[in-house]
Amino acid sequence: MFTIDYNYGTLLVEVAESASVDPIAPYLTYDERIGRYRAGAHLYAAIVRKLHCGGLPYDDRARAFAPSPLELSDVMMPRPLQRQALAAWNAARRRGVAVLPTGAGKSFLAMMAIADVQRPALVVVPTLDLMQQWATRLEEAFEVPVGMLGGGSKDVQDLTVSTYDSAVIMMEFIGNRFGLIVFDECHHLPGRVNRTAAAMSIAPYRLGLTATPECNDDGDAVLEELVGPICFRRDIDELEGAILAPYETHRIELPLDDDEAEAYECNRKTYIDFVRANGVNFGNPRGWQQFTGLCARMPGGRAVFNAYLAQKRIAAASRGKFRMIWDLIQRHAGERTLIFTADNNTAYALGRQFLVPVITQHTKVVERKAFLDKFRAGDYPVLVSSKVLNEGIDVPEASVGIVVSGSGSIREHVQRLGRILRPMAGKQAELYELVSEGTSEYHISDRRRQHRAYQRSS
Amino acid sequence: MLTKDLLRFRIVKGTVKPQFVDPGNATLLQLAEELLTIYRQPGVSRAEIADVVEPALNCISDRKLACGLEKLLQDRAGFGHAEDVDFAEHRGRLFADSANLLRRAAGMSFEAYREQALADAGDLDIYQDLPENERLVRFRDLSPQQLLERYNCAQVQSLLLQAQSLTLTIDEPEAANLRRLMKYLKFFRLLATIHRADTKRHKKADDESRLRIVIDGPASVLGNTGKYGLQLASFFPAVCSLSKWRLETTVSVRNGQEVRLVADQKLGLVSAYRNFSAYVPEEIGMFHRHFRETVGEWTIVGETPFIDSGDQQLVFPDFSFENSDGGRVHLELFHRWHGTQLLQRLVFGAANPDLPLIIGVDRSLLSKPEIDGALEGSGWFAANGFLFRDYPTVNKVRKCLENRLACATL
Repeated sequence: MFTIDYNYGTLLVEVAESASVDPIAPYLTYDERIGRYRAGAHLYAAIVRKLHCGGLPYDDRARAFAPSPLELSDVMMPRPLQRQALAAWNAARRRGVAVLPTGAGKSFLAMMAIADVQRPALVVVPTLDLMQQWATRLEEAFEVPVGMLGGGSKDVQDLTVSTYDSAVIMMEFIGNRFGLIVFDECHHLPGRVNRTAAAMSIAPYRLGLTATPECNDDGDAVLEELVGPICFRRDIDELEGAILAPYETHRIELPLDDDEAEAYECNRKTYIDFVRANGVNFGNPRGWQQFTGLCARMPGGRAVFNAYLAQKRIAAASRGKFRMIWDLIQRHAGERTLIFTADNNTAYALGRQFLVPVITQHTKVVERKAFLDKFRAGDYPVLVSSKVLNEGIDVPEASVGIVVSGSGSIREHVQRLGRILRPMAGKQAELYELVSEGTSEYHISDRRRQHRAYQRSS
Repeated sequence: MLTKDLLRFRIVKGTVKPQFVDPGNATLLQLAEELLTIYRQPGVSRAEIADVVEPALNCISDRKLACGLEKLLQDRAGFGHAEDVDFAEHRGRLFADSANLLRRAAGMSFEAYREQALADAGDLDIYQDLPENERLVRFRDLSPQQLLERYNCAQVQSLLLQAQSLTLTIDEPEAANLRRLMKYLKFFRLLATIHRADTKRHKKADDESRLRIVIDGPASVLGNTGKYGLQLASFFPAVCSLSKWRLETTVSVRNGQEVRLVADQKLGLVSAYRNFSAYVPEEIGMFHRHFRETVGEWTIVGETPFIDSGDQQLVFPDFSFENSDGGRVHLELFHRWHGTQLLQRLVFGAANPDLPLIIGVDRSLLSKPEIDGALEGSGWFAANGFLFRDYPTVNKVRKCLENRLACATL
């Protein structure tokens, strides 16, 4: 006889004297502190399956969920693509990652999985905006109350949405209450901290959703171990015009004004001279730490760091960019435009300059919901954001994107394009990328465009 | 706590040496007082604090130390916005106007757009309510010396954020202190492996009273996890209130370099946690009085020892009783939040029937089926336990003591 308990994000397994631990020994570690066997909670399904298939008696005291009658409202009809994705996930024993571009219906795929599995489900998302969006959609789709964990909410229901941060904190207390766990934007999961959210859950069924699954270091292996393998994949260019809106991307190079160019060169020189004199190598993963460490320790280091920030700020928020934004707003008057920046300061500078709403992590939940609702309804034609709207947020009405500044991350750039690709009748999406001419922004732009979504378009 | 960039330490032969400060140093006490004066002014904005703090941060040569002290004050401060202006409402009105103009912006000059959009709005900054403009609304005050003491403790705590486990050696442990330590362990959901000190290695006379405790989290046994760093760091001040202790662990510092961290009572670190042992709750005081007045054959023993089962488990009773023959029996109480520990104790009691231990269980725990079932099926509980509501009555305790004594005599 085996007894399985859930204990603070792990499983405790007791083996009766008459039984042999051998069948499940590979999953267990003997914990001398308490004189019992312990296992990772994510191994629950494997352990139970092994015991069940081996005909070994066991008392499952870990599971704190039961089948739950969750039905989708009839008005929602899946597309063939979503049916195929669900079939692929089922074939992968309901543990796997679906890779689909923004707008291809990842959220609805998750709802189909919830309805299919008929177990309490936890959806884990990266931002508070996505938590609100998912909660609203799940409530509409299943017509049941939906719990939320994050942003001050601590309400756990059979259907619950949590941020990754809250899931990490709370999972050791709720990790046995869900039969299905959905990781939205699951490329966030393999991080050293975030992965504990998946490791401490016993959910036998797991679905990962992402448009950009590639992870650094051991991320791909972690994702496969904790969620499952990639079981279904489609890319942006495969779906353009059919499921996604047709789109064009434009890179616009803009010269700095004379005084800006002079200040840029001066600050850039201070920064570059310091980097060269001290042998800082940004090709090395520790290059940035080396640079900031030297700036903190060396005489004049703070001035160098300020120079670094100044040249970056000048290139990111030049007057030429501001003038071009006004031109683009005029050119697309009547359309819905999303403006992306790399930092909050530029976002708020644009907000003050153009008198338009800005969403950052400082925006209160009530106000950000109001901004998004009014943007979707067409009451606000322009919305500015630094990073919080990069991922997941559903604004199908947006057809114009303006990237004022950003990092060299391919993922970020693809996600930003994805914001304007949700299909609508007659929609033609346009993504503008503004780059300050003769600055380091050009190379950053080159780096982030290394994706098939950008290489097929002018 | 301190962020990584504010930690001050040296690494000597693979051991990290935090740079502690002297809590009696006049210059530092003056700096602490200056910083505290700034944070004692309600209504000052974050930006204003940053401006006023800057000269103070530069008044000593070690800016990192000054910034560290200020960080500890930030952690004790709460900020908010003045409630006389509703910025969200102001923005809502302005954006409604600007949206109307933007929809027909084609051909409009930027200057004309701004002039028309701002016609009714005035010159109020629409994003005035960003964090840098928030104002100080509360501050948990402390003395300059306490701030320096907290700083020293925070130096160790912040290093412990990177630890996966820690080893604590305690000399001459007192039951009351150990019990408090174990309460903090439970509170922070940490686990301990407890050994008597290895007498072959330590041949001093007091070896018998030396404990070695390895502390980590439930999942630590499954592999490296950074999950318990915050819990270990939060637990650390409880260690500082012990009289003789030594802590050892491995932490990761610059660029992931792994180094040893060693601390002991000689560092003079001061715990910020209140000494709960000095406070006697009302119901315990009443129980003592009533017991003394009504039960002649038993007395409550002043010092309650911990019971070492010899199996790396320590039991910390709430009361110890002695009868006229010198026989001692200990009582451990399980309240509504002790469900898991109760289940463990039932197993432990059944395996150690000779221990002079009785237990009282709060009836609210019976609402959990697994506990109800475990109590129902426990022969050890039937002989050595009783149920109570909120707090045990003297009568129930006396009956259980007598029952226990009768069983032991048999």
